[in-house]
Amino acid sequence: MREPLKLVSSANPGSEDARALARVAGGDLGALGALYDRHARALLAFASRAVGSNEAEDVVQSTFIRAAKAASSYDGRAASARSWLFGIAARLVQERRRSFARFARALSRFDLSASSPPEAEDQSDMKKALLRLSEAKRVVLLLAEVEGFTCEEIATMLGVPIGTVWTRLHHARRDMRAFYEETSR
Amino acid sequence: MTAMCHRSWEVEAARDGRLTGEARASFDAHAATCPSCRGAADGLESLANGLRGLGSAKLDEVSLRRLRGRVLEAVDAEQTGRVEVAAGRARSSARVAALAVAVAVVAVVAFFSLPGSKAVGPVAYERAAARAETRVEVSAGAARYTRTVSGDVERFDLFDGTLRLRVVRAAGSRRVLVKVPDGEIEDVGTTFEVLVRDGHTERVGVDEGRVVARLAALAPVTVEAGSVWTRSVVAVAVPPSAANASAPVPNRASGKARPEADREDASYLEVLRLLREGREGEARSAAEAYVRSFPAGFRREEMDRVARGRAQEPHLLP
Repeated sequence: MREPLKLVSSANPGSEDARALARVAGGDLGALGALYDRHARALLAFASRAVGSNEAEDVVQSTFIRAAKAASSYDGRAASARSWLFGIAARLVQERRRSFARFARALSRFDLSASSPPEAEDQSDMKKALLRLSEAKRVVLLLAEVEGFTCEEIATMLGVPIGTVWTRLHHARRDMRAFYEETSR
Repeated sequence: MTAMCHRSWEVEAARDGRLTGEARASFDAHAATCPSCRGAADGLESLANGLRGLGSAKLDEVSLRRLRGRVLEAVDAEQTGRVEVAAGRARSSARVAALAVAVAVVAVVAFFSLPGSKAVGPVAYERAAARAETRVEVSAGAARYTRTVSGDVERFDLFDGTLRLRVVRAAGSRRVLVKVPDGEIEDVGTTFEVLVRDGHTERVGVDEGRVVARLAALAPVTVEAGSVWTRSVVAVAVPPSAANASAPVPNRASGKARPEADREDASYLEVLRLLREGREGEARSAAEAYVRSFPAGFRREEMDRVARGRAQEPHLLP
């Protein structure tokens, strides 16, 4: 029989991530709790910028659930557990957005409206510009400019060639600039 | 206006790590004297700063904790599901028999836990296997409460007095809620104690794990292991000797100065500290001092017991 749910926290944040993931792979929920304590806030901030605060919690929850399932596959190839977790979150953002796009297309066939993602209204210009980017560009822009990952790390996280990251980043900045020029006219 | 430099494309290339070695050094030397390239670099930095300044999740600690609980429960449930499936393949007939027994046990427990059951009188120490995976030990003393089970929730309605619960919850098992007149306290797998007096929750003390208290007119409060929430003083310093001690929840139910209540809390906490350190004689004296100083204090009953040397009763253990 499994041990009862017992949550513990680690005294050495950061450096213990790989070991924690190994323990998570063995079914240790306490280790998952420790990972959560170290990374949830940052992931939540990232998800909030990427999809809006309404959906951010779902993204973070799904990130940790997926991380627990895939913990045994973590072999340290990612630069750190942090980048590994952000990679999961980034992919989830893209998947969720793709789902939304499919939903919107389905509605449009019935002449119903779902033209903008949630929270597109009532946002700052910066937020509006960001939400107008495709998910792929938005995620890369946030990972590079806000989270401080290198393009090489982002390529590994997302499983795409580094040239793709450079291109998405360039286009994202160009689109952001274009939005500002358009709204300032 | 500054004319566009023919090397301005390199600004982005340098930022993204596309320029290395000599090419990077050459561009850095150029950018140091080129207003156009410096302006382009400033533009990129400004965009990054704007993105960093975008409002991130407005989540407080309680929400983060709540999300943490959801994450762990979801993962736990999935892991348990896998275990059950594996066991089921190997011992399906034994499992059917065990299931039948479990159903019978649950039926019996449910019968004795029907809503509307009368308030429970003094109970020394009750132990019930409510469901295979949730076990609740109850120490109620003179508390008035009812206990009901409905779906995935085991509910205690505490009307008055001190109710102490030790909850062992396993994966995806039933939640345990203590309904108090002014709100509810949700267990997250722990040992804790709730005191209700005059229709208000006065105290929530947690020995292990944590609980979330959602009380009327107060923000939800997570009470961690080794911490005590009281209506007058919410955060309590935990003695170093306390096992499982984690950071107490910094919170105050009221900004008003309540020196009398604070003195009472301090006196009470001193007794707990002494008990935790095993200094029972001194604890007894401190408890007597409490009773003398606060004859109407709401911990009077507990302190009376400590003063009379009955601190080892389960619900009095700090």
